[in-house]
Amino acid sequence: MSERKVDRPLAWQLDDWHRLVELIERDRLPHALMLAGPAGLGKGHFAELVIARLLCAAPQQAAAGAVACGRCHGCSMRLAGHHPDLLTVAPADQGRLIRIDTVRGINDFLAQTAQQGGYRIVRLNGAEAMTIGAANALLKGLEEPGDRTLFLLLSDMPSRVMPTVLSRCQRWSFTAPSFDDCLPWLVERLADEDDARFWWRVAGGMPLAAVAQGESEARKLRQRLTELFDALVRGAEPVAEAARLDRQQLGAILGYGISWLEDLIRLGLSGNVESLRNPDLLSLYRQAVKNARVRDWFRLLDYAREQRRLIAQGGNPNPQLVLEAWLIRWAALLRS
Amino acid sequence: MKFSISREALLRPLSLVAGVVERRQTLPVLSNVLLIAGGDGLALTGTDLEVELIGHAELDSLEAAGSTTVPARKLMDICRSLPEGAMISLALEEGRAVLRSGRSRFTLSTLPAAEFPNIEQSKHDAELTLPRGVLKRLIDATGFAMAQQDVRYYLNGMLFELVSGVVRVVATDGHRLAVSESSAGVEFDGSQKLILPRKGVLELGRLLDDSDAPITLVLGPNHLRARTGGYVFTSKLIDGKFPDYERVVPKGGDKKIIAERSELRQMLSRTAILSNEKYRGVRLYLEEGNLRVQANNPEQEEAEENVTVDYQGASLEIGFNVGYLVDVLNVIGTDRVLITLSDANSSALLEAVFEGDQETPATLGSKYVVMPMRL
Repeated sequence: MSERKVDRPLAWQLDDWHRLVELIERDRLPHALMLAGPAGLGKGHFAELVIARLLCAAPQQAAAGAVACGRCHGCSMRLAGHHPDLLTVAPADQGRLIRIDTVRGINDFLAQTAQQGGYRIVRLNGAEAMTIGAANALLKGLEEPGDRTLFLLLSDMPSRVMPTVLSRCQRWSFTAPSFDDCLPWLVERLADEDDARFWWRVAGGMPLAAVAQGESEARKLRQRLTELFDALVRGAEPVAEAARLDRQQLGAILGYGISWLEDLIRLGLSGNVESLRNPDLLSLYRQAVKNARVRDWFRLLDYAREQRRLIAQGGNPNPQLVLEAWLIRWAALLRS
Repeated sequence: MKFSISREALLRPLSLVAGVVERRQTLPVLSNVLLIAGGDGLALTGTDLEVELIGHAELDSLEAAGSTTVPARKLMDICRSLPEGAMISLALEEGRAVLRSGRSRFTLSTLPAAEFPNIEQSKHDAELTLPRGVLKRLIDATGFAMAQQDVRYYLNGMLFELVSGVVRVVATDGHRLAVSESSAGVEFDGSQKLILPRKGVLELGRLLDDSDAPITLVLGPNHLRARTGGYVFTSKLIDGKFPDYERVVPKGGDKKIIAERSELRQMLSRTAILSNEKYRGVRLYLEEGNLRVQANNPEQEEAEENVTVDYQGASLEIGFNVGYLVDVLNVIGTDRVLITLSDANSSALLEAVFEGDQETPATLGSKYVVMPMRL
């Protein structure tokens, strides 16, 4: 989700942005913001903008629409990637945890005054990935930081963040924008409006996720999985198919599977083709719906979500085994 | 940027500035030194994000003003290994710094000066001037008591408290406390408190000497800046509240002992050898005119010594961490020391005894509080 280094708010975040600027200008900015919402909405981009604006010495000199001047000392250091008053903390890797040592580093950072004399900002990506110990270590600093300090916590799954952390932050929820709001942005990045609409649907209305899934690498994986499922319906051997999948992409593979399962359940319950996220897979769905009951699909969905939760919490399951078990269950349902 | 400078003029400030640049840096730009050449000479800046030091060097000739950053240690090593009295010319050519001297030529990588995290001077700050020697004595008298990596982060530093005409510094680690104050040559009105972090105190101490040359402290909300002899030292502050140290200083102790400082110190250091290596506890038995010190360790070895002290009153048995007592006796500047005790559970107050033509309390008045141990 690497967004280009442009210091402009995304079209569908303009309202949130204006609200934030107003808070800054009235000097009413809270000390901690929890940016919550599903992945692929541009929360990271929004956080980047907040940081840019607060660390810029002369935001009033910014070009029209931009949030920071990009020329002052603060901006130069931020663009070079090392502003001394910005601390970014994130899980070491997808599915890894944020441990207590990292959080103690935050506390050390807060113990001293700002080097540049402006705002001190702690950006914490993936707040749900903090271990209980780490979250507890953060509480004191999060509750009473010194002057001119801002915590930016980002979370795709705010429900998994400790309530004690949540209650110390002002929560800003991001929700999926309407298609019209993000259409120009999508068209700019994808081939045309049809493409934009298709991938927007596939991504469940998350614009950044839509662009990510529309990239050729992701397209290939999706194509590969579509073929695999066709093969499964025709009676291919799930274990052999699993061996051919790239184990590194376990999370993405489960993600697609979950999205398709949700489609299947929608279709099975309502028969409504309009609400499908992946309209191109309709023929596959029709076949699958004939073969299994909705209850079985729900059971499979529970399994997939459980696996995804394990991965998210650093459970480190064996990818080979997960893929095999996952495909065997699919195959059983597709053919029963 | 293009200028020439003599090796000696560059080397002195450069080696001081490179001293604050840490060897292992996570950010490449921090291992660099910022060079700003202008009409008033060359300014060199090194930082580790906690402390910053700006040095100043006179240029031999300036052809073009400008600024850049170059690797500090490499520049210093090159300058150091050039022959004495060599002339160095440094020029910025196509994003690289070219250093020429005689028939040598070195090309150093650079990073843009704008990316260097130097601290900009904030405007409305209070200023205070005092002799360098006074500040040095203040720091030396209390620095040992600073906590090290304590979770109470506000103890990992030294409190500077300024009330009109008096500078007071306080350091404590929760077991012992050192307060020292001076009004000699201090020019300041108003009042301010700040906590300088441990690293800042140590680095500042390295810049000081015993001379009477003035040092100017600029006190800002986020920084302490010290200007002296061509150098500008800046440190971040600790963002916290120092505990109320006045309450810790015991009042109303009725057992006043006056002892020879060096005699007492040597005796304590000797008995310390056989104290418990971890807790370093010694027992002090106080009687009229005599102090008996006793230590033993888990191996049942025992040390016992007696020293004559000036004391009248009831006898008392009290335990101390011998290291804390020795630390205090090391920094007290006078021949004799006054120890005030009240009972075995109250802390001891140690003070210098001023006699004759030695320093007077006005130059440097220190108080040390040491908590007792239950042995």
